[in-house]
Amino acid sequence: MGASSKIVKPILFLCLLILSWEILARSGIAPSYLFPSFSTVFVELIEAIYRDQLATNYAITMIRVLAGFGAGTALGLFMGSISILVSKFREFLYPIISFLSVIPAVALVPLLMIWVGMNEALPLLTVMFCSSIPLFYNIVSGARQIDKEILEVARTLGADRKRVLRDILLPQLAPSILSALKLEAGMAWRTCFVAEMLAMGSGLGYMIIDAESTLNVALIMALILILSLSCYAFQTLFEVIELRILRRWGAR
Amino acid sequence: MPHIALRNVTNFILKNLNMDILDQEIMAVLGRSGAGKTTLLKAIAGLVEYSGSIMMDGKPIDDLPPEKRNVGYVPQNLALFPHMKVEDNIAYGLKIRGLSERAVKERVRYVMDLLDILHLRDRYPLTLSGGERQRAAIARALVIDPKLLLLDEPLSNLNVGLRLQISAELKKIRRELGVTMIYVTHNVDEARELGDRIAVMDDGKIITVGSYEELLAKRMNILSDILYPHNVLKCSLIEKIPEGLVKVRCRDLTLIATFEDRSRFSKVVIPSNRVYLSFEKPRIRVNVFKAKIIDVKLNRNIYEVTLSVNETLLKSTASIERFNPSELKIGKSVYIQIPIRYVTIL
Repeated sequence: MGASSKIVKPILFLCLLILSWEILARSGIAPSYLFPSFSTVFVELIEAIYRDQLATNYAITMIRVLAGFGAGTALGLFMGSISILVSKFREFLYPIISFLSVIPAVALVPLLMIWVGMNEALPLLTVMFCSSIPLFYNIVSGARQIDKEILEVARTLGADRKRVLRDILLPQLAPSILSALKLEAGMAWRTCFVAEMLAMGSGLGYMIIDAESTLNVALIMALILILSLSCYAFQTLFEVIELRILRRWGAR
Repeated sequence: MPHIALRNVTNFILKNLNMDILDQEIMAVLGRSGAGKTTLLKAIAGLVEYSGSIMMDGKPIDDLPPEKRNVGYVPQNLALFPHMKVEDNIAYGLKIRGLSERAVKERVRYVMDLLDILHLRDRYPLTLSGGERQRAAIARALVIDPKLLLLDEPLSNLNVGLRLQISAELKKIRRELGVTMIYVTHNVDEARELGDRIAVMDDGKIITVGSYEELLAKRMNILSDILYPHNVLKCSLIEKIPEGLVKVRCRDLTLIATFEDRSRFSKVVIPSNRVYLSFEKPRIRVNVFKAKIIDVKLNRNIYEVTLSVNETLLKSTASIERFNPSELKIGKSVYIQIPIRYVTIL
């Protein structure tokens, strides 16, 4: 029991789900080209690796996600740090960012298609946008919740403002930062996917549009599976780091 | 020369505050919550703005930022860095100073040993008990070898046994490190246990300073009255009258009071809970005045009544059971009476 049942139960449930899918699809309830069985989807997935260069396209999408996510995180951290140090900057930026944060990143894709064209800058910018805003937002609101006396004590111990930011404030913001990154990690994949669907000639998003035009339902399903698994893995990575930090501090 | 001297320190809470603290003295600042005790400590540490001057060994430190003042500060909630182990919390002040790793280790070890917390070095603050956190916070403040240690209600959350123990340790530390301490509390017992002298603070001012015995001799009933606001009025001597009494003039009031040889007849202090309010003329004739109610506030279970005797404002406090709310109407005329023994002349 305990840890083992935590892993075993979901896997059992997943197997049951796949089995029902398989049985339902094979029962002839719908034509197999509209509702293919799990095994068909799986075989299609393997075939796509050879036929459609799935691995390459996946790598392309992943690079776009990582580049945009990395750049967005750096931008969010930078803006957040400056906003903590310079209150004028924060007063100016916070309302703007609060407004921007309600815009779905995918809504920017058509605009950016016109502004920057259909090139690699497009997914990079959209993913960057959706990765920097929540981070900035969480840093600024997280900083407000940090005990002011902790910062004051650091000052009396000899730390100037920059040191306080680096040694005390940012590390303490780690949980807020990570919970933003967790949110952004899934969003980065989804946003990149949509940008590729609408405007790019490569990547998973392009493949799904291509599969739609040839009515290849099995491939569409396979791509959705890959996308959700990637989102999930990426998100879980940050969740694990977040939990680890909180546990180490004794907060959980 | 005093080690620490505050001259006319004034800000949004403090009002022309003056205080002298001797080298290696433990000064207990005693006052009710809201008296301005924490703000006083923060001003000394350079964490809030103020006008006036704070001097350390005769040199003003007003222009120094907190990181240059070399003052150890232990705030009320201790404010340990939650993301650092106890050892790193304590070492932080030294690492900033760019000491060699060995020097840092040695000094941290020494201070941790002094506070008996060596066994906690790899723990994180959130996993410590109240007493352990207290010691860690004090160690962190002491490690930078400050000349002055500021302690904000450091023992208020501890049980009596632990409190006495840490009190004794603070005295030991004072001897061993030769550090001056300002120790803020609202607890009379704590102030007596630890303070060489006690400064009674209220409404952003130091009302009086002295040893516990001296304060008792001044007939300040600090044990019970410190919880209430104090009326502090400028006064001048009119005449000495028999039986060790004096007649003093405090603006519109002529008060009869006791005095001491050291009294300078500059101010009188009257705890507001000793300003008795009644609707009929009291039978006692001494220190009775006609007054008008200017304002009434209900603070927890205490009425805080502001009164005017002609142009002079006085505060009177009374527990909620004493009056009906309808009786204390603004503008109503009442009598006040102040027992002789509660009028303290400074």
